[in-house]
Amino acid sequence: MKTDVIVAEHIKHTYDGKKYVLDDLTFNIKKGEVFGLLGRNGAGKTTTIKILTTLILPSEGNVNILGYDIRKDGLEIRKRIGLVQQLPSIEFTSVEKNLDIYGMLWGLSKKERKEKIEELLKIFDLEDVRKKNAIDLSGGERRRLQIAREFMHNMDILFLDEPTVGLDVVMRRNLLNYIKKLVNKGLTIVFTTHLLEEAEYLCDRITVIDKGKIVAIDTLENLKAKYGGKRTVEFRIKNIDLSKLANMININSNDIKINDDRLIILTENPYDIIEAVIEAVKKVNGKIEWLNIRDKTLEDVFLNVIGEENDIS
Amino acid sequence: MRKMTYPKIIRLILRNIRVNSDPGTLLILIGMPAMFLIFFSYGYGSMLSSLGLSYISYAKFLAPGMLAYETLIAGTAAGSMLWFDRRWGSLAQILAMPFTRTDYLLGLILTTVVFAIMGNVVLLGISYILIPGLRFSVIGILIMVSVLVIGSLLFGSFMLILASYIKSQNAYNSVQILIIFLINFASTVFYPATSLPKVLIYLFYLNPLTYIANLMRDGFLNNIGTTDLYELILLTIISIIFLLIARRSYMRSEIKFE
Repeated sequence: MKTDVIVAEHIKHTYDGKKYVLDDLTFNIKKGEVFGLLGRNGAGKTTTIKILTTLILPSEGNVNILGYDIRKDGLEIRKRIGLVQQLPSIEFTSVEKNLDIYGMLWGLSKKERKEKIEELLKIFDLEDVRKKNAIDLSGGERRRLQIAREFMHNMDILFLDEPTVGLDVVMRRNLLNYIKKLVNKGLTIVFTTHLLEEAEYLCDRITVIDKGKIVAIDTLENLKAKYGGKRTVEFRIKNIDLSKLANMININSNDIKINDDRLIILTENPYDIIEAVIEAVKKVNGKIEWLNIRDKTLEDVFLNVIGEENDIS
Repeated sequence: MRKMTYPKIIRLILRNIRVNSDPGTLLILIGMPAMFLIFFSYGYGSMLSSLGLSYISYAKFLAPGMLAYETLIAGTAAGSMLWFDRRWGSLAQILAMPFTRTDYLLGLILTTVVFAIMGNVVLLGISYILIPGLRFSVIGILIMVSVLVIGSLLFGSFMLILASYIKSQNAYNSVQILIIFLINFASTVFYPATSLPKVLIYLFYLNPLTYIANLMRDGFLNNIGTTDLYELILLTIISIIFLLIARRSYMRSEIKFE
């Protein structure tokens, strides 16, 4: 059984002594897990990351990271974690020097630094700009440098606070695949993002935070089952009156939508619905040209969960 | 277990030096006092001697003044580095690494000492060229090195106090320029206090740079007396007080992390 590397109990945090930006967060993260923190802007994701990386202490509650108490053993914790901040963070010197300085700060020898720099320049596609000053890089290149720099050292837990902002699609996918590789080697990741497909691709478990509270926490499959709502089956049917066809199918009228030549049905059992529609179409001599079943997505989960809390419709 | 190459404070100092060793910064930190020494020695030196006012050559008066001034200029680097690191996310990044806030603070202040040493080495080199027959005594060198370290600690801490309290970078830059101007010209760096009106003399002797310049001058000219010892003790006490205030203000200001 995998051990817990992070145990957070009843974390509360306030910056002004009045309003709680985190309100009673309790969760645990296992070794080798990719744990996603999702939420709207200002939900409390970054404050959670700051607490877990010991940059700030929680106003209330306990956090234990890798067996160390966050209040007493910050230094020990920081020896074994990495952080890619949401805000840009670079030194205004060359790309190579940025990586070298970071490796030096982590106590790597010159030889280790040299090897690691070559490896990371290649992985993060920074070889062509290695001599360029970071101030002259594009936004995406700077972000790549900031992420690459974090891999100069070995760690047990990596905190990624919206790491892919500003990256192009190819680089984003490369990064996610690189992270997956490291996760297979035992690295634990705590990940915040607004790109839900990224979280879906990468995360083993997801927590949705809203107004400083956890409103959902589970595996992706369980979240989809619980909050994903119904699946969508979409048909394109020619030569028949779709409203008549809809009446022939035994389904709640709220779950049927007609859009030009398209019939869209929300259902828990898409295959039963497909059978029923095929039969009904045969009866009226129609023709199904195309059909599509859309799975529940994390976006559906997110909107349903946050919608419940915020009355989004 | 990771092999640690240098102690962590040394790593922070090396980082600060590497990040701040761009030509512009070095020109201000090291080049400016050197240029003052060269141009003012020639310019004012010849003017003062033509007026018959020089009891020693102006270069001989100004060189230790510039060594003292270097501690002030190097001290400003501490405040600027803190601002820059806060603005560009490096502070949060370093504090998420195995460094404490005190490590970071000491790293900044000790970097100013290193910059002051570098500047003073350059200034001494120029002094040897400008002042024929320049010789130092061992005690003189000891006094100068002690004053250099204490002075950089003092001004480094002072600038960190300002950087911790002032909320915008523009305001910090303006205040810094004003303070450099006031501290510099209300001191014995460029001219002696003896010929000034009494009110100004009091102002001069409230200014730590006056003591730093006087001590530097006594060490430089091998003119050491018991007053120097008292002044050195006084400066050390002021530096420690400033260092403690800097630590306190910096710790307080960083609780609310940006």
